[in-house]
Order: sequence, then structure tokens, then C-alpha cells
Amino acid sequence: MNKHNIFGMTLVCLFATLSHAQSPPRFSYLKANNLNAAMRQLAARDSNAKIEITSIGKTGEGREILALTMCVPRQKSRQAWPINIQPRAMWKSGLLVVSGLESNSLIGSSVILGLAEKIANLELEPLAQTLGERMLIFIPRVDLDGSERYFASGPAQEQLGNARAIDWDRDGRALNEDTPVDLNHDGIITQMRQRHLSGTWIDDPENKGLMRLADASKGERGVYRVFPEALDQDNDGSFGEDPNCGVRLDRNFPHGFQEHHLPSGPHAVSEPASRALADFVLARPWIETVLVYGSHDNIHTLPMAGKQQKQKSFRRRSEVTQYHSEDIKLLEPIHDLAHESKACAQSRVQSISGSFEDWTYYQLGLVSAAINLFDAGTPKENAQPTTKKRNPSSQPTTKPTSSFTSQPSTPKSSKENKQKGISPWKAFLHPTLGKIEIGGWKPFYRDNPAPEHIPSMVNRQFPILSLLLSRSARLNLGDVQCKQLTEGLFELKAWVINEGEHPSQTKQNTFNRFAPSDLLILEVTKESLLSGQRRHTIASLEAKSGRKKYQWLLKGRSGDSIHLHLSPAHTSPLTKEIVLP
Amino acid sequence: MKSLLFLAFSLFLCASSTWSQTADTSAPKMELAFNRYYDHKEIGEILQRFKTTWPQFVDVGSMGKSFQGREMWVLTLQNRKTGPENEKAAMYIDANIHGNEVQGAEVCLYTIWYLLENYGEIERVTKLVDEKVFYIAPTVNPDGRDFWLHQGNTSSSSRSGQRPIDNDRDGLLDEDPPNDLDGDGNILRMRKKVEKNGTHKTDPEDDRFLIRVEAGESGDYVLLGSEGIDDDHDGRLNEDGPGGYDMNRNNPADWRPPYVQYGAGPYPFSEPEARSVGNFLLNHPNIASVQSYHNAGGMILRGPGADYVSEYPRADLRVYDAIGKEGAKILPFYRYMVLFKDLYTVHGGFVNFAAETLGIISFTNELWSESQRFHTKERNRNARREFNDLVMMGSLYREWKPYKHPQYGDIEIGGWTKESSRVNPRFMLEETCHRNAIFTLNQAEHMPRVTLNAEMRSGPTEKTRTVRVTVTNNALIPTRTALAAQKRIGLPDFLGIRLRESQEIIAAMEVSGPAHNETNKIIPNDPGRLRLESGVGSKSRRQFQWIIAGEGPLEIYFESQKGGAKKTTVGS
Repeated sequence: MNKHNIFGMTLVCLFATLSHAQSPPRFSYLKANNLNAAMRQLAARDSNAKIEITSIGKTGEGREILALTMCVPRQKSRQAWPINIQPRAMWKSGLLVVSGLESNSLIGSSVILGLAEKIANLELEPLAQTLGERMLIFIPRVDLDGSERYFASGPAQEQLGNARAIDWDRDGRALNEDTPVDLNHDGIITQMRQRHLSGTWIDDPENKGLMRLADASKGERGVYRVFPEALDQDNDGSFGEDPNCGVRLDRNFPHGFQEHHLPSGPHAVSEPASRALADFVLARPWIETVLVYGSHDNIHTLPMAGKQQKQKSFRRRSEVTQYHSEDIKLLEPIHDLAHESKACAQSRVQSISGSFEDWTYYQLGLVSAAINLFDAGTPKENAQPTTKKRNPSSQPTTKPTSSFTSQPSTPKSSKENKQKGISPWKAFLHPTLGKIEIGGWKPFYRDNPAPEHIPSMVNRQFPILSLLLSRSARLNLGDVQCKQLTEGLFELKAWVINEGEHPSQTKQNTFNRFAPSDLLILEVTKESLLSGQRRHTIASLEAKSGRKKYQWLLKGRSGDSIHLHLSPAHTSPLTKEIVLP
Repeated sequence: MKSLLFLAFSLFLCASSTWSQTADTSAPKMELAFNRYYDHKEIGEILQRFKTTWPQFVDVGSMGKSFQGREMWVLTLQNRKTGPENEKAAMYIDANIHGNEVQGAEVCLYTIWYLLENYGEIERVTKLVDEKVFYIAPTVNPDGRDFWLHQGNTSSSSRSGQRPIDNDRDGLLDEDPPNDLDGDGNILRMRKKVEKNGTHKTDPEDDRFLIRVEAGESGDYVLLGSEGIDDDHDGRLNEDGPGGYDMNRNNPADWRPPYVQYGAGPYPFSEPEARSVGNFLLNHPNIASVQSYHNAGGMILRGPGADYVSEYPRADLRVYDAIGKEGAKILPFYRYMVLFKDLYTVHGGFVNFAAETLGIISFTNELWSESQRFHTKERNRNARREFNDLVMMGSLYREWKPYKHPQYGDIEIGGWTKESSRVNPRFMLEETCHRNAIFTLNQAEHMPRVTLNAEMRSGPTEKTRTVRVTVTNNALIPTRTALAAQKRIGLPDFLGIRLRESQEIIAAMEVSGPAHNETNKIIPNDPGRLRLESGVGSKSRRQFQWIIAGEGPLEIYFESQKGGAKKTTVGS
């Protein structure tokens, strides 16, 4: 059986042969061109929402990475707005939802497409309720090149990374000359194991068909050594050590980027696709919140709060590597809802160096959530929802020592289902190694549920999306008072208040000062301003209650009108006309 | 008196024609003045003249385009007849990453000119052109260069490229730059006379200058900062000028975000100029040595840029120290220094990228030392004034002149011009060009020079033969730096043997020990292609031995990204 033995060949063939003219299947895994076609069709259909497609750039192999933007139209017309250089007057606080940074995880793209379709179908009132004054941007798949492996003909093989050619074994020969192969002709490429004195792995008694590392502290001794299912095609003594895979985009962003590590790339933001995404975000200062679907997580288990750095001069600052406790509070409502609705899975890795969500939080100062939608092998002890924050003693483990069971976000997931994803170990006579066994996880099974589960996953994510949309900073001009002190002399006072659920800036942004400031601008001539500044940079205002007073002394004539502009960092400016009394 | 005589002698030397540096006394094939600064367009034209004059050695290309669309010229200089470019060790030289640090471009042009003029005249030059490749990029910040040369600036402004940045976070880009109010091509100082109410008074020794008043004393002047107006009416002057980032902090080597490292940009290689240079280096793994020119201070700098790596491996330090100390002799008044220890911390610097990310021996020279003015290391706080008055006919200083300022009213504008420090006085440029060019050619001579020798003898059994191969690097720079080996940067070197069908490798081993007679390193995998992760070290050799079954000659090859390709045949 090829690939995921649940979704089967029929669906795969159906998607692969889909033409642009046809409607793509609504809930399925889609090839890049079909995914883009589906997005374009969605944008072209009748909807109460204003929908626009933007190409954010191209991948290394030239595939177009599309963003789909949705909002409630300000006017009823469907007149397009220049989304690339949107005038400030049109700004709405943006929520960016990204997926497909990992080539082996396709579920995020399908869920995003489902969410976009759901919103496009909404009647005007629920639409206005959901989107409100927000701009919603979906980028369903970034690593379009790497994800095409899922649909490739021939034996199914799960490889991480994009299509960049890397000489993994650094042997200076032809690239990818020793890729894994389907030795036993079962249509899938899995793993080989061999009993050997140097073995470090043992059978996991609690998970039939899986292995775990032997724990020497418990007196266990390794039995197997493990390789990819491969020959030694280049006769260098290693097996499948030069596979056909490239840079992992989910590790190619600057925060915590791992230098001299081939899967992370030659340098941060080295890949056309990651650069396109970074430039897209940087060119849109109105993006306030980011949600990433993939195998990363900071929602199931909240990040650990770090010791807060004091405001030092720039020359003495060091890089922040842990969340500010106040910023974790911004993720808590999502965490609570995701657990309540079983909408997230625990990540099987502790922390990801160079992830997109970390770059957008630590360096851009945005609210940035990462949800792991699915993992067929979530450790048992972490399967139950937890409301605990991540701390050193309860961090998830990468060690496959725990028992595996069904995980919370998989509808109808069961031990039986998981077993379908594991190929039982079968004896094989390897031309070089001799007696071995072939088996283990089937390609793509662990991170991608059967397509019939997609609709229910979309339904579980919709409340999360709605909650994220309902939470933002909302600055407003409060009390504006102008009084005459004496003839020709006026005192102006104005309050700026934050009515939103988020502070006007995250704590991280008050520290890194990357995102643009909220501004208060009094439009008067230099001569008429006796005291106070024409342009004020507004310090961060707390959620709900944050307010700050500004004061000016003006020269003028009764009846003259002046303008006060509030220009929030993420939304369009507000202007108040003030007539001097 | 002694120093005056020395000065007169130096002036005489510098006044002599450009071709005086050549071995020949005949006129140069290509006339080029080294007593002036060229803008980007002129540099492009000069590079084309090199190509036209010496087409057999020169190619002119572009690494990419700057933010404002200028070409990032790079000239490739080599003798194409002596072998493929990618099989020769290469030296990369660039300059002017900071817009105001201009004179490195002229050093680059001089280096090209010197190599081409002297090919066939000076043996060492001929050998360099025949055996090595030079990639020379005179300006890697062409927008910044032209801005500095053609707009009002100080000697320190502006380092940046010209991409508009919101430096004051007020939502506007580059809206309050310094202004050349008097239109003299310089950003000078502004002062205002405030009788008995100021912070400064005229210097009693020289009334052109102001000095701060002592405590309890009152002065007649306040200094208002650099020449400019409050363009955006925010109460501050010149706080959002052109650009506002640093391309020498935009490289992917220990890159840190802008809140840690000023000017770093939003991500490594976010700036097109830095990205173009980075891609050029990534695409030329044969580059074994890198030189970057900045100003000022008279320094020969090496990394690390920050203490994220405590120091370079000892083997690499020996190479750096040898080249750096030679440099300090070639370049009077220059000091050999370590960036993070002796100067300041740099995250994301270009030479750090070259050295720490790509494993290339790399230096930065800070051109022009103030000591060069009077050829003395003696500290003299009035040296600039005296140099201006005695040597430059007062041309480096502008007298105070009245100006009606829109915000400050009646003020005066005056002070030092942009060429008064950091850049070489033009008449002293050529010596800087020559000495720095020689410093880099000296580095180029130290790049790996590999020889390959193979011997064959019969045995150890009746049907086998033993091949012993010696790979020798006769140069100071190893084929792989110790850092490259440690971090597994690039490809290892390879020593291989090409077999005929009837031949078989029985065993491969490295020969070691003080007398090179111990064969204690058995190579188990891929014995026909030995992986030399640590390459061939500085002025050293490595020996390997194969036991071969089967008759006939054997071809031995050596492949190294920075040490070139060699092959030899043994046996019959």
C-alpha cells in the first residue's frame, strides 16, 4: 500500500489529475498547483467578505506562494484595494495564519483552506461578528516544493526540507547519490534495523512496532542499530546518508538560528520562500498577531517565562531568549480554549531553533501562537489536556521513551488507528548488512490524519481563529478638552485609551522597539504651538484599562479649528477636529 | 628639523608619477591617477578600461544591484591559460561597505593596476597572476559612496546604505536629515552667540575654535550640533537622515537583531548589497583569503567579532599572527588587532562572515592613521589644525559664517570639512594604496600551494603493490582552516585513486609519526576517496598509503576547494 494507507491511492490519483478548471476536492491534501487553484477559486467566488489573492513570492523551484486576505468590506463594493502598498487610511489590525513551513506536514494547508471557505460562506452578520475590524491573511503553504514529495510517484518517502540540493554527506560527489530506497518493494520507504553489539535501540514494550532508546540508567542495553531503508549506493559504508531533501523552512528564521547545521540552511532566511514570507510580514506593519500551524507548539504547552531583562543601553543588551510573563498571558485564552475543544496536540520536540513564530515574537514583537494540529504518536502522559505552563521539569521530551497513544486533536483517533500507521518489522536480506528487519512509521502518517478528519479539525480550529480575531489592541481618543486660558491662548488636553484585549505593544516590543510606534499628532503650525510636541510616540498602553494624557498650550483665535490625529501602529488613523472655544 | 626633512622627502615621493611603483621606468600601459576619489560611474569606467587594456587577464561582472539600482562591480583577474578558475586559490578584496569610508576603492583600483602593469615585469607578480585568482570589488556600497562624494556630509556620515528607514519611529522615512545649509558640500557645525550665557567660549590659542567653559565661568556661544534644520518640526534636528543601518552588521555570522546590534537589519542579508556579496562568496568556494577596506585608525583587524567564540583555534591564530605582524611592518602606523578584544564587539560583520561562517582567513584594514600626518606617533591634539594650516593651505577648515536659521535665528556655520579626517589627504593617497595593495598581495602569496607526490613499490605480498602519496602545502595558509574543520564548513579535501577494472584497493592508511613511518590510521570506509577534513595544514604535509592488487598505472588526485586540484600517475 502506497503512503497513508487510510486515505489510499484513489484520492491521491484524483488530486494529481485535477485540472485548474475543475473544483478541487473540499477536504483533502492538495498538490501545490491545485492548492493555488483552490485559493484563486475561493477569491473569485461570491462572498460577503472582501477576498484578495496576493503572490508573496516564489519558491526555489518557481512555485508561487499565495496569500489570501479577507476582511469585511468598508463599503459594499468589491473594489480591490492595493494590498501590497495599502494606504495607511485602509489599515486594519492583521491576523496572519501560516502553515506548510514543514514539507512533511500538509494538514495545516487543508485546515487553512477549510477555514477560509468557512469564512467566505458566512452571512453578513456572522461575518462582521467574526472578522470585525480585522484583516485576516492566510498563507496555507510556504514550502510548496518540499511538500510535493507527498504526491510524487514511486515509493512513498517522507523527507524534511525544501528542494535545495544539499550534499548531505559532504563527499563532493554527485548530489543525493545515496538516497533511501524501497528495498522490500512494499511501496513505502521506512527504516531498517539490525541486531548489533553497537545497537542503542530496543523494542518499546508499550508500543507494538515502535522502538525506543535503551536507558542505561535502568540497566537496559541496546539491541538494534537503525538506518533509513537504503542501500550503500556510493559504497562509502553509510546507508541512505545523502537523501534528496533540503533546508527546513521552519528552522530558517533568525531567532536562535543554528549556524553550521545543514538542515537549517547556509544562513538564516537563505531560502527564497522564507525570504518571501519575511519580506511579506515586514512590509505589512499592520499585522499584529501570527498563528502558525505545523508541528511546533506554544499553545498546548505555554512557553516558559524568562527572567525579565532590565532596559539597558543598546550597547549592553543581550538577546532575549525567553518569553515575558505578561506576553504569555496573551496566549493563555487560546491555550484554554484549545484544550477545552481538543484543538491542539503536544509537540514532540522541545524547542525549534530558527522558527518563524519565534522570529515574529522575539524580533518583531508580535503576538505569535503556534499550534500543532496533529501527532499520531503523542506521548501518553501528555495526552490529557494540561493547563500547566511549560517549566523546566514538565517540558515535553524528544526521547521516544514514553508510551504512545491517541492524541487529543485527532477525531476518533485510537490505538488501532495508530497501529495502521506502523509497518510491522519484517525480515530482509540486505546485500551489504545481511540479515535485517524493515518497518516502523509509515511515511507522512504521523503528522497527517486521514482526510475525512479534516472537516472536524476545521470546526475545532474555527473558534480558535474567532478568538484570535476578537483580541487585539484598540486605541481610541478619549476625552478631548480645550479651554481658553486668556484671549488667544488655549490649553488642549487629550486622553488616548486602549479599549482592546491586547496591550498596545507586547512587552517584547517595548524592549526591542522593532514594530512602529503608535503616534499622536497635533496638526498645528510651529508658531502656534507654545508648549507640547506636535508628534508624540505613545508608550505601551495596557489592555482594557491603559490610558495616557497629553497636553498642549496653543496660540490661536476662538473659532479656529485644529486637527488631532491618532495613528495606531496597526490600524488606520483617527482624526478629531477641535474648534478653539 | 628631522621631521621636516622626512616630511619633505615623503612629499617628494608622493609627488612622483603613478608608474614610479613599477619596476620599469617606461610609461604605464594605462594611466590612472591615485590622488583623487572616484565615484561609482567613474569606477565602472576604469574597470572597463582595465578589461580593454588587458583582456587576457580581466573580466568585469556585477554581483548584483544596490538598493538604488547601481551595479555592484567585481573584477576577476587571472591568467585563464594556466588552469580553470575554480581550481585555483582565490583572493577576494572589497571596500567601502560604509558609505563614508571611501579610499578603499582606490586601493582596490591600485591593486588591479599594479598586478596588471607588472605582469611579466616583476616575477612575484607574474606568479601571482598565473597561479591565483583575484576577485576585486572596489565599492560594495555604491549608493553610500556616491551619497558621500556628491552630497553634504561629515567625515563620519553616512555609513549606511540609502534604503529609507524610520530611525525615530515616527512613521515617516528619512524626513529629517542633516541639511547642507550653505551648500558647500559639507555638513559643518552650527553655533549661536549668546553673550555670557553660553556653554562655550573661543579658544584663546586659536579663535576659530570653541572650548567648553570651566565650572562657574560663562561663555558666549552654544553649539547647536550638525548643520541642519528641524525638517519634521518635532523639536529635534537631523534625527532621521538617509538610511540608518549598517551593512557590516547584516551578515549571517553571529547575527543579532537590531535591539542588540545597532544597524543589523531585520534579518541577515536583508540588504541587497550585503546579500550580493554574501552570495558571491558562497558561490566561490575557492576563495581562500579575504580583505576588506574601511577607514580609519590604522588597524589590521581580524575576528572574532564577538566573544561567542572565545578565540580562533590555535593553528589559525598562528597564520593570522604571521600575516598580521608582517602587515604591521608593511604599513607604518598600523596596529594588528583583534576586533572584539582590542576594538569593540561586532555581530554580523563581514569579515566574521568570511572567517567564521565560511572558514576563510580574513582581515579588515582601517585605512589612514592620524599619525601619518606628520609621520610621528607622538600625540598632538592640535595635529589636525597644524596639518590644515601648514600642509593643506587651510583647505580642510571652513571659517564661521553667519546664517539665518529658520528655528534658531541668527547663527554661524563653520568647522571641519568631510575630508579633514578619516580619509587620506589626496596627495597622500597613493602611498596608502601601494602599501595596502602589497599587504593583500602578501596574503595572496600565502594562500595554499599544494604539491602531490606519489611513489610505488611492490609488496607487501607477491601480488600487491604499495603506493605512498605525499600531499604538501608549501604556504602559510592551510587548505582548510582549523575552524572550518571544527565546524565542518564547506567540503573536506579529498585524496583519491582512480582504479582500472582489474585493480582493487586492499587497504588505505594514513602515515604518521615523527619520522613518517607509522601507519596506524586505517581508513575503513570509501578507501578510494580519502576524506581530509582538516585539509593540509600550514607549511606541512600529509602522507597516505594504499595497498593495491592488480597491475597497471594508477592515477592519484587531490581535490581541495581552496587548495586547488592536482593529479599524478604512478606505476606502469
